[in-house]
Amino acid sequence: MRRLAFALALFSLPGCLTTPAEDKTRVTLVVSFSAVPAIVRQSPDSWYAQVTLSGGDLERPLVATARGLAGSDADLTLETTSGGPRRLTITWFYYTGETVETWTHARSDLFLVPGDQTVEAALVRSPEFTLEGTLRFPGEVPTQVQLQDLSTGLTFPAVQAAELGDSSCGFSLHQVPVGRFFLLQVRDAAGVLHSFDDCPVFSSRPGTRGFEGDLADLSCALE
Amino acid sequence: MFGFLLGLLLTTTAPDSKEPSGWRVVLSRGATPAARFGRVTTAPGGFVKWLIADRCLITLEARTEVVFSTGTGVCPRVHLVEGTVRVVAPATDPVDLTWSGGAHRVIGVFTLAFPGGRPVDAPGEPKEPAPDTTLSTGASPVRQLQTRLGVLLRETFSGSGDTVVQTGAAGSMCLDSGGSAGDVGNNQTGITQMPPAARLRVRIPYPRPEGGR
Repeated sequence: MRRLAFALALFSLPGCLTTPAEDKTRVTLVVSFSAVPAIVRQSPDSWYAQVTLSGGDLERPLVATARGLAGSDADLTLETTSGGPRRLTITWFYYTGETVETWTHARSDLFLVPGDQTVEAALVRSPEFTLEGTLRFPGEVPTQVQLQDLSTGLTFPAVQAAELGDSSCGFSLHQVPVGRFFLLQVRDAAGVLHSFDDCPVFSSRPGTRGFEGDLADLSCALE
Repeated sequence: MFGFLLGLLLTTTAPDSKEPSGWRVVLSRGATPAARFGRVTTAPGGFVKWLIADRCLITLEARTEVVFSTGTGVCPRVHLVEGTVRVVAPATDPVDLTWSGGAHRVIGVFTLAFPGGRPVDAPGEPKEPAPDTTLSTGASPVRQLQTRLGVLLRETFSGSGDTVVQTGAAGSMCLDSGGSAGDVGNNQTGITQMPPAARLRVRIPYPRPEGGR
């Protein structure tokens, strides 16, 4: 379904597929996107950084994002009105290829002076918790369970659900950063992605939290 | 000081609460709201966000008056007298939000503004066009919930690593045409000017993740 949608999107975007008549061995594909596609997954050994700047005197928070490969520094620029105090938050996800490490930085005492200003932010590793859950499902056992970070839209690596019998399955999601809200998403046997909207996953401390959900009506509970 | 006020708040309004320590201020600005018989009022220019037992998030914006009382679960019942309140609540711990002439059980994200005696974002009421009065309920599409949650939580939780923050009282600052600093709304002409632009460059050194990459 997603491939079909992508194919349709390609044809609906401004662009062209040309085959010059004089050279039948060359095919040129030119595609331009009207908007930058959202990054929903990372490549292994890459990082994704999100910087937000908010304050009571700003109409809405400013957001800037960047991505890069392991070993490279991030450098972002935000432009707004001077004043303060402003709250600066930085979230830095590093995908090892197996897991996502979450590093953060936050300060609330930032006063912006007119003109240029540079701050250097040292990141610290975010504490993590484990989410263990059981899902009831009609029909065949779901294939994958994953978490989507609500603030950035990034999807964390999916895990396989293990069938427990009696139309239920279990899963464990490790290294989930504390202090962030996630949506739990489940891909069923037909490939359809279901989202448990009513139970944002959140924990403020390390440890283990439990999740129970039913794919039949998407009812859920976070314990 | 704030712990004392919260203790007073909970003692007054939720004596049966099993997790009185579950109330945490995740962000606030301006004078700490005082609680009297469960009634809390925020100052002009101030706001406060509470995270309660890791389940629900309640935000009071400036000039907001609410009355807290014991809810069915860990989250309190909220009666909005005046101002703007935002609530994030999961299905397992819905928040009963009431106002003069209405009530709504909040699941998901909900914003209610009640200035001048008339709610502008009550369910079933015609909604006035405003950037910050988007109504979403548990039955809303995913994208609406995500968008609303994103806006609300980006400011509060993004990258905080669960840092508890209480900012001090401070007015926003701007420069007048002569270049000297003054408070908005406090100048002699009564004309508020936009502060000069600032460009913030954020450098994030690679933090050398574990494993020596």
